[in-house]
Order: sequence, then structure tokens, then C-alpha cells
Amino acid sequence: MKIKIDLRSQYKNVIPVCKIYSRYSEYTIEIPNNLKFEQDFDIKMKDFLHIEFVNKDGNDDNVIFIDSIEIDGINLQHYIYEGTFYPEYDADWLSEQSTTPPTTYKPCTELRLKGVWKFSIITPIWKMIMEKWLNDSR
Amino acid sequence: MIVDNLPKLLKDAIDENSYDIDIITKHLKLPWLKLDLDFGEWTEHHVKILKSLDDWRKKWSRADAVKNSYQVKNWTGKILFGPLDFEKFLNLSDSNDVNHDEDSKCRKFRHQLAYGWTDQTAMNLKINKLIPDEDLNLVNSYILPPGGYVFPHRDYAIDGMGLAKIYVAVKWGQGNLFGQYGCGSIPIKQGDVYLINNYTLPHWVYNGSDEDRIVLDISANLNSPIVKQSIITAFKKAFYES
Repeated sequence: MKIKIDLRSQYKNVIPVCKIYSRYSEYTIEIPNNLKFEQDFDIKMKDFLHIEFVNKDGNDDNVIFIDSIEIDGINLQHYIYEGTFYPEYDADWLSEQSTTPPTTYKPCTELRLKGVWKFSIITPIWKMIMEKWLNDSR
Repeated sequence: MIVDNLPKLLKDAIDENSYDIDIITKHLKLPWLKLDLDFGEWTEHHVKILKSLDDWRKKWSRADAVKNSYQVKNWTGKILFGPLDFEKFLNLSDSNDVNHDEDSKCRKFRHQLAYGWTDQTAMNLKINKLIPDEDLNLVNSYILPPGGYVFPHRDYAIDGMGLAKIYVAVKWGQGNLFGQYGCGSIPIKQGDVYLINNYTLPHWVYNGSDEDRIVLDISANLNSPIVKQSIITAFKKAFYES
């Protein structure tokens, strides 16, 4: 299944690198400014899309932005805000904090820490989106 | 056989239960009912009134009010009946909520503001034969040219309604569709009048015909006598006839 992701980055010297993976597919890429990532993924009926920021550099303050995601030709639109970012805090830094920082960030499309952005996928994608509307309790 | 000494609650329920428009339209969440409302013939004059290059979403000051986006292609329309001081209406309705659909906003503020026909046209006579002005909330035309579409979406009502939109297929060439998620497409044919629930299920429209699709959308008090009777008739036809 084709997955297209519009990514952007911000950095001084350390080009952000991310690992993009599902249950059975994995790609590692550099993001020099704007990047239109497009690859085939082996996606199961219940799967996930993970985007892991692998080389966060606190001194460089490099950042990855997820601008849009298209799976199987369908733009996920605002549902990308349902993705959750799980930061991996440095253990020494964490032990010095008086207030515990969040364990997750949602919505989050700006990866400013080392960690993994996780989004659940259920195929077919069109039905996944319909079900989200159907169960919207607004 | 019903005996005389039944508990009062059961006896009253048996004796007095009848058709309640609120139950049928609001609580059941039915996707659609075909009504027998007869607005008469739709002449070229009527079609000319309904056809419009107006973009109704601009009038509603919607953030996505662009004629074409990836979600909407060539969908236009015209408000024929509604709030007369539209700016005042928008200020009032948007200060309460911006996420609810236009029909339900018009229902909510119906008795707080002056409503009326925006043009003096033959259309008011046609609609008023079945529904008087005091029972109208909003009358819109929807124009969708060949190839036009509205993406899958769901509308949200302020008042928890289900069936609410009286949908008149004035021009509906073969190849048009109105899909309701999980229920297939509404079996609309040209001239049909349906009561549609656009609040419960995601839905979408597409004009796959070679001519403009023209719909009259009427939001009305569903307890208006002729409308009410038509809903009861449609309900009985759908659930009583085998």
C-alpha cells in the first residue's frame, strides 16, 4: 500500500533523520528541508504508522514537521491530529526536573524531541475515516 | 383480547400510543424516508430561479468558502428563504457555535429573528401550497454540474435531529448519487421528495450525469400539518407494509 508523507525540517547543522515504519515495512530517511516521502508499505488490516525521530540533537535544536499523510491515495486530512507523540526523555535530565513532563503529546505534528509519533491504521482506509466520523460524538 | 383490569400505565400506553414526529425523525436515526409531498411540476421558470452562480458557502462566511477544493467541486446554490438580516444571524449563530450545520442554526434562531423570502419569486407560492411561511426555516437550492461532488462528510446538528432535510430532486439525471455510509445510495429519482438524515451517517454526493443536478433543500417544522401527515404515511409504508 502506497504511503505519501509531506515532511519538513528545521536545523542548523544536523539534518533530521527519521525511521518510518509499519508492522512489516521500514524506511530510514534524511529530511533536508521539504521532503515528499513516498513508498510502498506492507499494511495489515490492523496496523500502524510510526515516525521515529532518531537523531534529535538538543544543541542543534533540529525539528521534524509532519504536514500531511496520504495512505492508499486518501489524504488523512485533519485525522493526522489523532497521532500521538511518545517522547524519550534523557534519564539524567528527567531526574533533575521538579515537574514531570508529559508522557505523550496529542495533537502533535511537530517532533521537537527524540521519540516516536504513532498513528493507528485500519484498512480499508476509506472505512477507517467513515468510522471516525460515525463515532464522532460532537 | 385486552382485559379491563390492566395496570393504568400499560392501559394508557395501549390506548393512547400513536405516531410522534419527534420520535420518528429525531430518536430513530433513520437514514431517509421517501415522502409523498407533491410540489407540482417544475417548469423551466422554476429551474431558472433555482439555478444560480451564487456560492452559498460564501454567504455563510465559511472558512472553506472557495468554489473548488479537494473536498468540494463546483457546488453552488442560493438561499431562497431564511433569516432576512443575514449578518445579524451569522453573528448570533457563530457566537453560539460554528460547528453545526446551517439548517440546524436556522431552526435554532427561527423565533428570535425575522425570516422571509429573499426574492419575490414564483417559488414561494409553490412551497407555501404545502408549507406555510411560519413553518419554514430555510429554503436553499443546491446546484451540482456534471462531474461535481461533495466529499464524504458528516453534518452536526445543534438540536440532536436525525431526519430533518426535505430534499426535492428537481433535476436528477441518471448517474447522480447520494451515498449514505453503510446504507448504499438513496434511491432518488427526478421529481422525488425525500426526508433525509444528514446528521447520523457520513454521506457524499456526486453528479455522474451529463446535466446539472438541481435540488431544493427545505428545512421546515416537521409538525407542519401536510409534512407531518406525509412523514407518518412514509413511516407506515416503510415499517407496516410487508
